[in-house]
Amino acid sequence: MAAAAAEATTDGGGKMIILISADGKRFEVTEAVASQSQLISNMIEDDCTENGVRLPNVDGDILTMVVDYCNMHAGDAAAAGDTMKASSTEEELKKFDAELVQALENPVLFKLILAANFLNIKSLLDMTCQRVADMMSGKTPEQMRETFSIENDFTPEEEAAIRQENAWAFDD
Amino acid sequence: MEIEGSRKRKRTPAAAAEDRLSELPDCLLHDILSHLKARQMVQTCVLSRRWRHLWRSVPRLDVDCKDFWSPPPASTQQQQQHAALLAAEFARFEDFADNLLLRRSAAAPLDALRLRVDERCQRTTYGRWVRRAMVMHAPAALEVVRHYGGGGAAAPLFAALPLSLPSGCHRRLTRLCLDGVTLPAGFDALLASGSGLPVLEDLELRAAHYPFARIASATLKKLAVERCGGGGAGYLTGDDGGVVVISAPRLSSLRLGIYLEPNWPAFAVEGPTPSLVEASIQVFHATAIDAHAPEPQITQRMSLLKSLCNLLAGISHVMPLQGEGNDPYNQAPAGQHYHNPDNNLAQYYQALPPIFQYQQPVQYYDIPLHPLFPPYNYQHPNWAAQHRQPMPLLQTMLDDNHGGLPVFSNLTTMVLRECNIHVNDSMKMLWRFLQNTPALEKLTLQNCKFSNGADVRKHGPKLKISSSLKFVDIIYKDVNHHDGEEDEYKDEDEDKDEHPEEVNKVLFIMSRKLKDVTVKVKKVDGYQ
Repeated sequence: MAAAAAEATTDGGGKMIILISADGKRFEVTEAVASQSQLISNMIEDDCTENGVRLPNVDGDILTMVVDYCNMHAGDAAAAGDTMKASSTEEELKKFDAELVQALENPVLFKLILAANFLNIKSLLDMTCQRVADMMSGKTPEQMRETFSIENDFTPEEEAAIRQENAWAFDD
Repeated sequence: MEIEGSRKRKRTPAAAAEDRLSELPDCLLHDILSHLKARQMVQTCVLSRRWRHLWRSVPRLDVDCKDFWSPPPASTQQQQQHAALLAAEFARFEDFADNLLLRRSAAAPLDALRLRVDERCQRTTYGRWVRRAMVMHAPAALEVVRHYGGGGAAAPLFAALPLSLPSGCHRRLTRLCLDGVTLPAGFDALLASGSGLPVLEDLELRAAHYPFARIASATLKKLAVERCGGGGAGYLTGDDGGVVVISAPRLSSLRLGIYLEPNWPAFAVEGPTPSLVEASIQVFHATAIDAHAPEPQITQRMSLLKSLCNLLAGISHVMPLQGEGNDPYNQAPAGQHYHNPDNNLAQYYQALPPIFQYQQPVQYYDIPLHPLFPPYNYQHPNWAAQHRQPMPLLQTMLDDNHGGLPVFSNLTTMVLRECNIHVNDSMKMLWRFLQNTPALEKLTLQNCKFSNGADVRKHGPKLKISSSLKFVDIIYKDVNHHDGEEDEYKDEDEDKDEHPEEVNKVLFIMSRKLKDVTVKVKKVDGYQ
């Protein structure tokens, strides 16, 4: 099946590629869509995508989101060619991105960051990192710990000493 | 309530086991911290041991003085205390910036430093930070942005930015963005010398004084010069207000924001720029031209406009494309470029009403609509003496036997924003302009004002409209739309009766003039 898919071409979309998630789910996408991932783009160049691309670090539900994102943003890619059948306007893209990112809860958000990093999709990585930064922004260290369940492993004395050392960055 | 509280408390230790954030590798935490402003970024050092030293190697720093200022006082009583506060706040900011640059790891490469200052930052301090950052961290991108704001009279000029540093400090500098700060003496020479800024590719100058005659660089690929004046008294103005010559053979993107004002420099591109793929020009004017403006002012503006047109027309190999409207006060964050990837290239005209006041950000929609480019109204002294009617500057140019408008042979897409177009002479102005755009395919009239101007009954030759024109989009604001009132119309509709009279008039004229052209009308609410 993978071999058949590798040979299958659409009118203008180039070859199809099969992505296989850690839990064995398969996603069929065009080369243009997949090459937004620098990792996969390199694999396409090296001609080693014929039997499908196994992504042992990425779960199926996360890969679903990544593939949705890449499909949506395929028009951005320079090599998009004729694949922009659902060419999305900038406005739609912004809305899509905002909704995607807003919907992300803690654990999924970090899985998506790891996936974007592993697959090397810069725009998705930027967007998700920005989301985390937005969640931190304007918060005191105590509030950040609470938001992200960060355990304070300093003793009170140690923490006081660090605050003292970096007093120039704190309020008083 | 109590039950909920106790439940929460129980849940916390369980959740603490799932600190997914701290589990991320350093490089990703650095990425995340890069998106925070510097002060908060440093504060993460007390989160836990994992976080203690992370900030020292974060590759992007965003230092903003506003993080240190308290909100302006509400009452006069507070105002007195506030005055004392100002000094303390500044001391804290100074302390922060000094410490940040000293204590940051010098071994970790610095990809970008953004320093945002305002008039409260004393003359010398920000220069000290720039110097220190360059010497210790050799950033790949340096952005110094001056906040506008605060009332005050004329804001003091900042001390020149210390950019002439020992060679090596600029060895990694690929991007330099200076907004509202003073350039150092010899900046042009620094640019031109191959050793001064050896890898600089991206230069943005905004709201700066550019008191030099040239922007020359062998390495530059992107250049944006916006709202840049010719500088103070030291600026040698030529007859036509001075020309800044751009000489950058590797240029791929050129963005200019030009003031159509006396004593503002014009720009010219020298030599071939074979890799230029994107060019855009914005035209601003800061003051309405009044009827009694002295003749030299008017001719100066005209020559600026001409040189601008010549510049555009001269970039002959550029493939014209559609550009997006760009509000200079809502710039995309650093590193992001507005630019439609699916389009090839844009030459577009657009003009914004009066701006450029040093102290205050201008909300341009608050300013009454002024006629802009092309029909740029003023009263030509001689003509006005006879007719007592405004006459568009562009028409003067068209009528000018000594030069006039160049032919924009490559222009395929044009946006006219906030232009004043007279309808009672069948929009002759517009058709005359279109004589010079033989390749134009799409014309957008955005938020234009269609008015009855001079009752001109001049009989000119019948104008033939370029056959390449295929689409006209008219986008207009609903002028009858009052605040808070619900709009009963849909955004788009084909029923002509629902458009205001002047738009219907325009549609009528167009239907006669433009036979094979698709004309679309879109109404937008409020301000866009």
